[in-house]
Amino acid sequence: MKRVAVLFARGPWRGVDALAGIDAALAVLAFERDLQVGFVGAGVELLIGADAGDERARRSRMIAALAHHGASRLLASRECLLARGLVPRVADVELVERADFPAWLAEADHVLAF
Amino acid sequence: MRFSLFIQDSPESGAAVASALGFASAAVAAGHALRQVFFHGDGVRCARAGAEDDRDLRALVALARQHGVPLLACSTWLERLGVVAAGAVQVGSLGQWCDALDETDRVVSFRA
Repeated sequence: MKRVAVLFARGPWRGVDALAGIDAALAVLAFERDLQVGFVGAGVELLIGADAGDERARRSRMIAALAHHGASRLLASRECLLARGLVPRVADVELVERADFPAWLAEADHVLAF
Repeated sequence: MRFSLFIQDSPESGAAVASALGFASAAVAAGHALRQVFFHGDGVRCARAGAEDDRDLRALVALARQHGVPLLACSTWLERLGVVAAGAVQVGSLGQWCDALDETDRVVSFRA
């Protein structure tokens, strides 16, 4: 089975990007491909949630659901979170060094960045 | 190698289509094949009537036609953005894109 890596590198204020990435990730899972999801740069802000009712909160919940829908791995850059003073509210996210991302991406058959 | 292209922005919002055209031309010239060109997110605006007024998109469509490569725009995003597909880019689904993954060695994504 081919592995697809979806990388979120832009923050939630980039309206289309996060939603497009979530759509693509859910499609990969729906069609039973191996999905791994990474968060780097401003993309880590997708992991912190937001006030209930906020569009960002909805996206955060959708991202949290990816693991439940079968994503085999969720990982986020520890440095990028620290630099922003953020703690992820999404469970099941591994915190890794930013330097580990190239190797992670290299192991994927396909990479999509949002 | 077989490539599929994943285009996330329209010509109006940046260089995604121009970059995709450059990559596709170089790949084909080097003997590689294209499996599918998929437009997603804001990229589905490439399917609207008149979108091919953009020189880069027109050239990408011509290249795809020449090599029998399907050009598909995500139906969900067409609906979400209120875009009616009326050009050379056909309505497609993420399911078709996922199917193409199995027949593709590498997906290359382009955005502004």
